[in-house]
Amino acid sequence: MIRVLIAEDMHMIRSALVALLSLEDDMEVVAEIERGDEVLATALRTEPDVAVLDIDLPGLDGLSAAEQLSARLPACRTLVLTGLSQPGNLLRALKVHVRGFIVKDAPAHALTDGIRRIARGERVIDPELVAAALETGSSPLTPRETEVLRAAATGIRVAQIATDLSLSQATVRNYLSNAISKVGARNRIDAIRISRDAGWL
Amino acid sequence: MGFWRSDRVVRLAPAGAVACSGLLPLLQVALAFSYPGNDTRTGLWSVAATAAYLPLHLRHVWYAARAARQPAGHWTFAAMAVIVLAATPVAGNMWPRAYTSLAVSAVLVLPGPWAFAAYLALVLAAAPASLLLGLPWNAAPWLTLSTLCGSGAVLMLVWLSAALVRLRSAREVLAQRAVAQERRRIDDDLRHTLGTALESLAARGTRATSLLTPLLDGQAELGERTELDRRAALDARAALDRRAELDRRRAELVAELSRLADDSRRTLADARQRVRGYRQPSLRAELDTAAALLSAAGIETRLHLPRTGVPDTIAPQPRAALRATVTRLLRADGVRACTITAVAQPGGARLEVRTDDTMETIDVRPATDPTKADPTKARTSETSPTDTHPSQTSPTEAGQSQTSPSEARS
Repeated sequence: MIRVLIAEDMHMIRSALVALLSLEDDMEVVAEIERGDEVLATALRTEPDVAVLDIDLPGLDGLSAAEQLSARLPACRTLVLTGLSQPGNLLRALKVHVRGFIVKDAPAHALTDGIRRIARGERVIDPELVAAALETGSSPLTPRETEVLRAAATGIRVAQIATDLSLSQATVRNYLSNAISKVGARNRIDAIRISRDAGWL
Repeated sequence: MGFWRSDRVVRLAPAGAVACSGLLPLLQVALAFSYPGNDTRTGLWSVAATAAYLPLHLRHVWYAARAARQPAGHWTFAAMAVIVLAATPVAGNMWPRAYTSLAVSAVLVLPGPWAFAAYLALVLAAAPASLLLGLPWNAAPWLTLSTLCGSGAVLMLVWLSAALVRLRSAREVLAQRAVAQERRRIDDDLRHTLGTALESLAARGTRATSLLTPLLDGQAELGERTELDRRAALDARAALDRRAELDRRRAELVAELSRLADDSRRTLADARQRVRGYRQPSLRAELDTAAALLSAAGIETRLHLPRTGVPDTIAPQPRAALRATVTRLLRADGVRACTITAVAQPGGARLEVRTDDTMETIDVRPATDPTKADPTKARTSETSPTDTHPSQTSPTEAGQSQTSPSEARS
């Protein structure tokens, strides 16, 4: 029996996933949660074999939750449900040892089949996602530029970013300027949009 | 250097031609006051005549420099000719220099043969007219030369400006034609692929509806009949047959709807692939990303590129082969290291993807026209893990082959 944890913020989709997996004889849904910051605690308590995580979770995004799971509960393999619109996430997902990456509009049997294969230790990656990731390219931003741009995306001022990241305001402006020119954006908002769409943030 | 950007130069060229055309008459006015044999009276006549004909002349130059047709050009030229010729007896002995502007306007306004005849007549008439007005005989040839050079310079400027404007409009027409051609191509492309698929989906939907309607009617009827049969204690055999028929139809409907869903997903995948086909990254970018993905998946990846560089574009088949290889490696468990080597070849390159125990080669041909590539064909060369055998050489449509290291060395 494969023990499955489901993390999805949309109640209707979460219920549908639970209902779908409950139909399978060899699967048992041991936990269903709606926030990313609850994933680790719940997983430590219920010890699932596979965690099915939505990529956009409130509290903590799916990939960060997967990173925590990989560090604290390596026996639990993760499968991330994503859209094709953010192909850059594949790179980050692979870095945090996500074993499966399935698009949300895949047929239902792809999910159940993927969970079984991941439980067996295989890696499940949609070829369309690989193609999309290869087209988008890897992020041109350095980790520090990504960090600064991510902070800017929250809407805080340069002074606050500088304080939060222990940098001078001039350095923050330099990082932002570099990021804008690297992603080929017109301004800071455009750079945030482009990077977010590509999954680089 | 920003000033010399072609679009700005093209925009300013007609204004420049008009400005230069205005300089010669102003010089003429100055001479009418100061040249020997002239006085204030001739100068004033010259000012008045110039003020009358110059706007007409500049109008001719402005339209011609923008390669535009002159509205009522013949009439304005006639008016200008009357003014210039009528002022000849009273505007001093240097006034025939104003024939320069008249000659230029003649070339710009009059039709072919008349333009050249009028031009020659005016240039040749300038010197005799000046002699008659009292200009020294030795100054006459210089006046002819001055008229010739002045008119030639202005005509050259106008011609250059008009040529630039025509060039720009030709470029715009070409760009519009290319856009229209591309739209038509995409339209054809979508009609032949997605259009057909969507028609099939619609047909399946219609068929599913036609199966569903009698099924629902039949169920209602069956309910009524079963009730009647029960009440009348009739033979239930007919009802059972009817139920079996409905079950068969229900199964058919489920199968049809299932095929409809499969077709929908396939069409969606086709649409995505087709859109991707219109936006292809460079081979170098794709190789860098592939190396980054493989490294992120825990496969130690090294990328060796030739000093001469790799082709910027890549044909769809080898691109699909590369993507299939990357997908296979990402899915495969146990691959620890991978080396991607690009070897320059005449007219392209060869990619060697060497993993722990296998080596795949992909012949890369630059895409002749990436927009004409059929991205759906890229799927056909994908290799699944079960297709690959370390000891087997299996060339594919994409020019991809897989060999063991020993075979590769031999």
